[in-house]
Amino acid sequence: MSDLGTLYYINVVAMVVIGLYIVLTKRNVLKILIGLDILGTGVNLLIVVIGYIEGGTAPIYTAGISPAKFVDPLPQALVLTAIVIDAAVLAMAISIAIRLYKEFGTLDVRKMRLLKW
Amino acid sequence: MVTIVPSLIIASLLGGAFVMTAVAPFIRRITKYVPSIVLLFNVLISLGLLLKSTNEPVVEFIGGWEPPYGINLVAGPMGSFLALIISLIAFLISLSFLKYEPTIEEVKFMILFMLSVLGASGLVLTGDIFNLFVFLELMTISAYALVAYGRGGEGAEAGFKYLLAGSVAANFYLISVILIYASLGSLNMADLVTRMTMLKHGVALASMLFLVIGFATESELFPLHGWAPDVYTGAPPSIAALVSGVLVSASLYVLARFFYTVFAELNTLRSEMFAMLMLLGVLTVLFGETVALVQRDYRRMLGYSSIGAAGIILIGLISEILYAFIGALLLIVAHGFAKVPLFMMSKHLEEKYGTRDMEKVKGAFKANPKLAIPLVAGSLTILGMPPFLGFWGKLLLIYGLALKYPIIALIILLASIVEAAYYLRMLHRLVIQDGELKKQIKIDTVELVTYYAFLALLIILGILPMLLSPYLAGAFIELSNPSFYIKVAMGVMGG
Repeated sequence: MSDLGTLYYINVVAMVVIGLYIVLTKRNVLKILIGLDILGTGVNLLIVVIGYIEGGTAPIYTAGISPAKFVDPLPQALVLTAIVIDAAVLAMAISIAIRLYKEFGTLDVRKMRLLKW
Repeated sequence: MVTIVPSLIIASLLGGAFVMTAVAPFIRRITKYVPSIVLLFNVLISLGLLLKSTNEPVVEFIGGWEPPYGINLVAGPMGSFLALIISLIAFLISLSFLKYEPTIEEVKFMILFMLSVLGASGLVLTGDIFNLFVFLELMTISAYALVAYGRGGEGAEAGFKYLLAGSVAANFYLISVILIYASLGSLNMADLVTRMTMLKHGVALASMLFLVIGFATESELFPLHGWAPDVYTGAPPSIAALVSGVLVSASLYVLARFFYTVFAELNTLRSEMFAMLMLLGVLTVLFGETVALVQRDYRRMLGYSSIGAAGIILIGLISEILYAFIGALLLIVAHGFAKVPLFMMSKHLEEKYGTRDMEKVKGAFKANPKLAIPLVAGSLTILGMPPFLGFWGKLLLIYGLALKYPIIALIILLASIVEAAYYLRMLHRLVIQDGELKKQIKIDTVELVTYYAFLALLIILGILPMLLSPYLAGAFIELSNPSFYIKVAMGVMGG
């Protein structure tokens, strides 16, 4: 494992932990959603990192490059799907946030207590 | 000769949703028929798949890519049985849409409903763990929006909570998938079974934990159930029934699938996962049934009862005992069917009296025997009374568990007594007790048809449970016998 690779993995763990922390502790709907996005981006970064090879290249133009130098293309296909799904979740979340603001006149989750937590 | 393939289920729902989007601005009136037609078609397709599943199960390679490279849809006994139940519940719920003269909002509601059912059907049919993530997100994202349709602030609040819990859980599951892929280089369940032995114990344990946390959240297991009571209270009644009967059952299936198939060769890991899931199951039963006892809100009570049921079903599914497993599958059917009329009743309460507080609507159904019958029958099903299907479910489950884990069987028996206490109290308040409420509740014919269709199915299956038994036994063979599943999924067996 190269230093650069390790750095990425540390980054992944940090982003997931930070994202979870924000989701669990913040009280503003939009801040919670930012936390959710950081968590999702951390997971997406993990997907990219596992397919990465030090000094590797994308398996598109293949002449004169040994197959061992190709990065794994499947995680890149997976991450595209995951990014699209993340975007959809966030779009949905923000539209629900708009409804919340219309109904409650605030974005503070402590004041949304029609239902018991 | 037309061959039946599982992707028809997915394609028809997707196609129906597209057609509805396209024609809604022009001829909105016909859109209300689309969900029922498509879902009836799906009921027939999945019935066909189920009939074939014990002899020559259908497996389909998407795009012609053979496993382990491509995505495959596997209609084994387990998958096609659950697909049939999901389609059937969704079809009968969609009948109640026929009363709409749909506004554009209601058209959107129906489209989202179909997409959510599509996700659930895909979840139980797919043989690829990343594809499973995609279907999971499809199912839950549509469900967030559907829950937010609930009236006023309650719906939006419940939808937001569901979204938070659901998307964190989905991300956890994705981490689990990636850990497995990074070590083994495959995403196909059947292919993973044999490769799993190469996985280091630490990595396997981590991916198992992420999986269990993710799907325990989706299937409302204690202590990760936080979203569930609010969703059951805030969502539109039909969606509360969909979440309780379909979405949660599909998530429980995923836990069972990983436990039985994907992790089949890892003995240490399996015993750890078994202990964890059993503990979660028992805690969920105890928690759900106890908290339901103190609820005054009709729908919240049903919600906690659903949580308890999820625990009972989980225990049966992973017990590795034939009878308990069959009992759990029957309970998925009985609970899913019975909760639909039960949740829909709250709509009548809210529309007529503007409250769900059981103390304030004493005797509400006394003057409305047409509604009281499905209410009583649904409750008796959940309690496991003959002649309803729930009786066989509970009987087999407790009998099976008593053979090997008498203490857990005893706990479930006690929980059933508690369940009986609060359901009978609810029936006493709403149906028997005299109140000032003598008003007739106006009912739509299509809604009555929905309630009585569920009732008829519960009684027919309760009298003739042997209709299902070859497929339930087949499902047990498929799960307890990974080599059978591998043969099916790789297309060695049948079509």
